[in-house]
Amino acid sequence: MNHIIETSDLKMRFRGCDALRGVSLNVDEGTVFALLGENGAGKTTAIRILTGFQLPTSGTCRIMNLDPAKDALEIRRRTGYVSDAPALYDWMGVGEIGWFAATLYDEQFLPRYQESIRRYEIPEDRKIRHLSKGQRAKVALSLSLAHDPELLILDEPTSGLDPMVRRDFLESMIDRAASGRTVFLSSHQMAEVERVADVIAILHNGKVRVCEPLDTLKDSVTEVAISLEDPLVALPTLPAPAEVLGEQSYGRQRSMVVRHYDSAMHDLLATRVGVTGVAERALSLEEIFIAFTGRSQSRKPVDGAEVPMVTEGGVV
Amino acid sequence: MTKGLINNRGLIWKEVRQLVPLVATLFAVGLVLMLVWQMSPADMREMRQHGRYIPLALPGLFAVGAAAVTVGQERDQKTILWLTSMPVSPGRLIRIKLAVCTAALGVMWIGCWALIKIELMVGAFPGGFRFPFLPNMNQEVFITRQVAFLSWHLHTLYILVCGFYTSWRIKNSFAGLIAIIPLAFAPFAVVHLGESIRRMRVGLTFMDPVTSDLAALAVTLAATVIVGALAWRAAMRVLSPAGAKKESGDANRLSPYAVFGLSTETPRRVPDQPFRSTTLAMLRQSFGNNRLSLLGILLMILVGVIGATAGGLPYFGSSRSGGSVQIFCGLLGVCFLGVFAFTGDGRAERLRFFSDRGASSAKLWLGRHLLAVGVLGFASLLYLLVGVISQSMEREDRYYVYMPPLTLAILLAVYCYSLSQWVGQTVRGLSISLILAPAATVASLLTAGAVLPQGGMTTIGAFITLALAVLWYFLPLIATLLSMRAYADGVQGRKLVAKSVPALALFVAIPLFPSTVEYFSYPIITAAQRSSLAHQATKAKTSSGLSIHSITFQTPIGGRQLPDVNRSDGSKSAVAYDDRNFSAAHLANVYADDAQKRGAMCDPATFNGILSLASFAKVQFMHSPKDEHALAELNDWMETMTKLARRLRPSWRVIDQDHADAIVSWVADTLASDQYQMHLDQPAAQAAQELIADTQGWSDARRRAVLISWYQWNEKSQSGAPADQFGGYSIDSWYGIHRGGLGQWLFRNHMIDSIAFHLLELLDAEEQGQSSLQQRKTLHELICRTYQVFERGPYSDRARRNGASQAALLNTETRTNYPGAQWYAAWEKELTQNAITD
Repeated sequence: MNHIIETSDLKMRFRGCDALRGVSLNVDEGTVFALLGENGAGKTTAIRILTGFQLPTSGTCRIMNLDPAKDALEIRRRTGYVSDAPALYDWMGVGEIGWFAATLYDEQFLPRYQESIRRYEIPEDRKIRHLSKGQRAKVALSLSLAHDPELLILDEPTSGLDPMVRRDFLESMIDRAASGRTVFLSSHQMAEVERVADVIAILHNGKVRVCEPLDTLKDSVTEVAISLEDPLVALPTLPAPAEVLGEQSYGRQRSMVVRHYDSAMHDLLATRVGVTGVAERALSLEEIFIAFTGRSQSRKPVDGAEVPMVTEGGVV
Repeated sequence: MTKGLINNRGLIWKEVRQLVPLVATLFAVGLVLMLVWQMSPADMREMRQHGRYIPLALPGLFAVGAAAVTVGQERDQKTILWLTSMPVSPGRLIRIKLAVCTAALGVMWIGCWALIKIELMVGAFPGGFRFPFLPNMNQEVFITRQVAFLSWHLHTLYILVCGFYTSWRIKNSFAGLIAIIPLAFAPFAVVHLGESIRRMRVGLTFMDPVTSDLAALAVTLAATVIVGALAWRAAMRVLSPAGAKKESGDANRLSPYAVFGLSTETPRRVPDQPFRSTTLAMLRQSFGNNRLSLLGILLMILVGVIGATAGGLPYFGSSRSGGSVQIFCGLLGVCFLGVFAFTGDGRAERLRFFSDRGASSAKLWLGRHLLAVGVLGFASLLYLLVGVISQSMEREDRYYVYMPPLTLAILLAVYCYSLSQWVGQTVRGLSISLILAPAATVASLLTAGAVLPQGGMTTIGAFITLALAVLWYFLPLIATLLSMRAYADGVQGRKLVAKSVPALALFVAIPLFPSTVEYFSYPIITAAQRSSLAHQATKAKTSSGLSIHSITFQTPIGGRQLPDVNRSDGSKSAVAYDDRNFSAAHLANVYADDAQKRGAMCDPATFNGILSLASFAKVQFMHSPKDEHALAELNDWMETMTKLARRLRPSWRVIDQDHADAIVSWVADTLASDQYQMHLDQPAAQAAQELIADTQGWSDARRRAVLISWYQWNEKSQSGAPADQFGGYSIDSWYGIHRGGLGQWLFRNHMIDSIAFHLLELLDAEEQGQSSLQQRKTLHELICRTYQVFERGPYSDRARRNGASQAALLNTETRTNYPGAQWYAAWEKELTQNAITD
């Protein structure tokens, strides 16, 4: 499959701050790719580089085989982009802004835009400044989709939308992917991303912590709950490729989030002296995200795997 | 070309739509200012002189604001980011913005010329239109009109390009707008510098003015190209992908760390204790943001202070011509300071931070104005200090420099600030606020200044007028205080304007109040009375068939000028110095040769000369009653004056009736003198006695004169010609006409109607033997207003007593200012009584 987005070792340094510290991503055509990360993780910077608004400090980036720094115009012609806070001309009417944008695209733009606006039930003659936040987001989405872009880049797309519209929108993203279009979105709405994304990348401190298909990611991360006879019982180090993302104690109960956990490890833990029971549970994407984006440095296990610090309230 | 237009129609439409409010505001402001100018009293010569150039300012103001609207506003609102996310190249965007703004500048110029055409039609430029300033400050007489035309147009284009440069280069719109001011004057500075260098090298030699003006034009052209290139570069930088280093530098360029060369990594020290007062926190917030703008404003105010005070200082005193520009710059800075109060950290969104935390609207309001209090207080101290130093310097030209008193300067500055902060709070667009604030300040100040003080002379009295003036002065500050809660809660646009409507209505109504009160108490005649007057006047006009000859000549009293005489055949000729003959016989030959056949109009200056010469002859005779020559001279004068009086009676002007009355009074006084008693049998005396005895036609002549004078006034007014005389009286010398611009506009025609009507009423009352006191009181109110109390005025019984009457008739000031003041006065009644007795 062709990569519609390819980045290699992207670095972006602002004054006193490394926004990106070597981001390498490959996004396949016809997928819904979700870039997750906490506030300040570097998501918007990465998107600005992809859309040609920002030059990286180092590293390479290609969108549809084009260089965003040199071919920004062509990329913008073939992509749709909605920023996290789209600033539309608030003195224009809903219909007017569509007509205005249509002059920069092909003839099909305006009918598609008008159809989209009608679907969202926004009056065409209403001024943008009189629209609610959600309605503005709908107009921005309609504008970004009306030229049927090969790649749709969305920065927090569903912010401000009501649940019904959010559901419609997300389903339309799945439809787009099904028709061979690519959607690249960044979001905090884990439940929604979980519903639509094919591939998930988690960005933390300017680095990609994980980039895997959603199913693979969810299958690979497990929460293990261990019942102990005594809270001071020491547990064995899990063998490679296991990676403990977080660990927490509640009296005689100990909980670990483990990546690449398998049945052999279950036996290892269950047969340990002082262990009275071991239970596994699959995690939601949100729990996986929290496990990957803990603020503290993970402790190194004996075999070299990172070991998270245990703090009250969860793995951070 | 057409394809280009079609492809870019969306972008062109967007830019045009963004510029429309600016263009509309400018034309609206321009028209209001022109109306103010039109309404300004004729005696405000300076204002009338400069006010007619208001249309020329419009393209310049547009050039200042265009880039702020099309670039600065887009950067502020971040719409430029959305625009650049679409497939449109930076170069195309920049080109379209510049092209649309240039085309709109052309439209502004067309509008400007249309307004100038209107001004030409109403006679604002009697000698034809001329540009007031030129790039090298020379007068237009030294330059071809083409160069002047090009210079003005090119310079506005240059300002437009400067606006583009500052808007792209400086992210803050406010600072960008202020930065245009020094750039706009840069070509002048270069031209002056070049001239200084030339003079240093070749000395003070003459340079062909056209060459120097062409050189100035070339400098402006070169500056336009250079700044245009810089603007293009700045725009491309903004619209191209941001580089890490550049963004870092931009973000931090104006931070105090960068300014003082500190490391950017140095953490900002946070004070240990928070502000305990919301107002102090607000004050701190006032200069926490927009520092570059604040610095620019402070510099402008400083320039104004220096311009107003430094006339005596060694350097500044030598450039007095620049003083008014500096003062203007200072007041503009104060206006900007007013707008600054509600921009940046004064914006509603920022103030909401305090509002959400329970800060009262009064505290918020006070906090926003503390900075201005500090700035204006400091400027006042500086004004005082520099003024004292300047005045203490001994310089030859020091006394020619007018330094406004500190109180006046503070009052003016506070008003400029006050109104501008109101505009800043109410109007959303920054560039429109910055243009509207000074324009509204000028318009309101001049209008109220011309109208409001008149209240002291009306029935509302000086105290109430003063109270109204104080309320009006502080109303903008009160308005922003009252709307502060809504503003801080995020109410904006039309809703905020709607909340300001009562205050705005009051602000407009207060200056109109005195005129309104006066309008309802003014003795305006009814439509029926006017209709009757018109009917009588038309009848009088058609029945008057006698041709009237105008008498005008320069009297030689007190001077050696050659008299320029109007001969009876209508031609003019100057009497040769050696041939001067001011004897009555000569004058009679010149003016009264066909006296029996034609009526005469005599202008006040000529009549005063005649009366003075006649009185001189009389004094000579009184001094030497036995001198035959003096007697002959007086008799000649008696004859001439008798003839003149008979010729003046048929005149259709009211003033000629009063002249005739003055002659009758003079003749009667002469005949009654002891020295003349033995000469009463002489022909001149006989003719004079017949004149005195013939009082029958006086009333009819006066009535006819009033009616036809009124008819002529209306005819002249309706023709659009400047009507400044009624029946030969210059109405500008009447205190009653000076009621401020609005009053003058409202009452001018009503006044003349009413004067004519009450003069006729006076005649009616006296003819029927009734008292004319009421009519005279009304005439006094109409003409003298509150300048004099009635009892001491020209229409009072006191002025019409025997003795006082004659003095009043012979008094030039009384006779030439107050129509009909001595009609049926004591002197006339005495003569009539004597005639009946005889």
